[in-house]
Amino acid sequence: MMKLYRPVLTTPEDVEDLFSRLWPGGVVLIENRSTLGAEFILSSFVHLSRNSGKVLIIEDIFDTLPLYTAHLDLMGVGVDWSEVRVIKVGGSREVGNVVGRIRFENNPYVYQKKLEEQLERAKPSGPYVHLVLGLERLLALQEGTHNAYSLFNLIRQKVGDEISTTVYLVEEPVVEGLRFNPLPMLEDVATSVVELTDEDELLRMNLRKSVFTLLHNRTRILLSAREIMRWYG
Amino acid sequence: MEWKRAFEIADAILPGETVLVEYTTSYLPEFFLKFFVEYSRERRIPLLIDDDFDSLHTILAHAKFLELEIDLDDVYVLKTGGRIELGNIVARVPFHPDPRVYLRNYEEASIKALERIPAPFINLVLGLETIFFPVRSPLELYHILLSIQRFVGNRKRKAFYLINRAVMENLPHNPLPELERIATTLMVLKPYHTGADLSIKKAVNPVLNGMKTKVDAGRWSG
Repeated sequence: MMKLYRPVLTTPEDVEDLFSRLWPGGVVLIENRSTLGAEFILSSFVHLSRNSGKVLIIEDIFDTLPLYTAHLDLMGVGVDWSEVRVIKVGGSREVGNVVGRIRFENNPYVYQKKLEEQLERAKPSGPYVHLVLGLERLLALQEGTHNAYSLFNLIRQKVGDEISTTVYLVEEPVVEGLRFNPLPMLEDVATSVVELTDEDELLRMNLRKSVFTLLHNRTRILLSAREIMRWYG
Repeated sequence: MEWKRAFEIADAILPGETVLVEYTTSYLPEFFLKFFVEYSRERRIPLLIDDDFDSLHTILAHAKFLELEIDLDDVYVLKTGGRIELGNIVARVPFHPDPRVYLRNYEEASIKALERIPAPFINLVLGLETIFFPVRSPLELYHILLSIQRFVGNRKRKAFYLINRAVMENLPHNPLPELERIATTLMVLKPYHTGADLSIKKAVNPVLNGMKTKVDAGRWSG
């Protein structure tokens, strides 16, 4: 069992293998504790979507996507956003191919209904990945725990979906500051849970709940941000 | 005063960055201000200070006690609220407890200010905490946060937001986790008797990432 804990520096093939096991189907929760890990994961998703031909639909809550892209620009990481389909939820700055727009809605059922209408129009006929950015902002603005519970029930319904994979990239420090910390519940519902942390200049992925771990006997993956830039650059 | 290390760090910040500088109870703001006044003069980069609710006055008054001379002759000031005017005021922003009204005022004023100041310039934000005081709901909090976020990547400026960590954390709606996530560089200053330990927790410029250093006031004159 010791080798479970030996971190190994990863190759692009490893990452592709890991991501390919994420879809289709299921809900993936990525909890970000690292400083700039979300930005790298986001750019990996865009590249992997292009390589695999699987459509990426980003639900961009309150301008979270343009914040990450501003960071990537400053880091000198070039990403081609033109093929990424984006559904804007609130916010005003557009990145990528914006295919739908909904106003922020305090009632999760109304929100979900509007979102599904937009997804229906945006989605391809085959498998796709639905990446949600800024869930922490939605949760902060959803007043009361009742709304959060309703939201989880709606997320639960996505677990069995066989054509789409839903990925929530959540900023852990922001969520922890909320009066009601929704992470334990989200983790319980999720098919896979991955935590991102900094390890010196490397990015560490802790596979906290993952089919990949069971199959490959690995719980930690180390990524070098500079390496990632080179793979995709 | 020996600023060499601090100069190198400030040089490594890229235009368009939003730098968050966190400190705790100490005279760090006084030295921080003095540093940027000197840095701006030495590097010939204009300095614009956001002076929220007379924060600048407070810092200068303390500096006087410390016999620390800070010369604001060449400094531009964008003033929100407060009464005591220092430096060259380029615009006054009427404060309003509704963030939507205030932020509209701020954006209008800052467009006016930006026209007068040659880019790229340094934007030092003092007293940001006071802008968050009247926040009553998460929605109001996010109005302010998104407005700060909209400046990220604006290559006309290198912005430094100096904030007291403890003050922020104790607000009813704590903006700190979001501010840290929005920031392109995060510096934490830990004071000791004659200086501070500076550690860089986050940086888009890999040269700075993970850096730890000391910035010592040592002896100063005038």
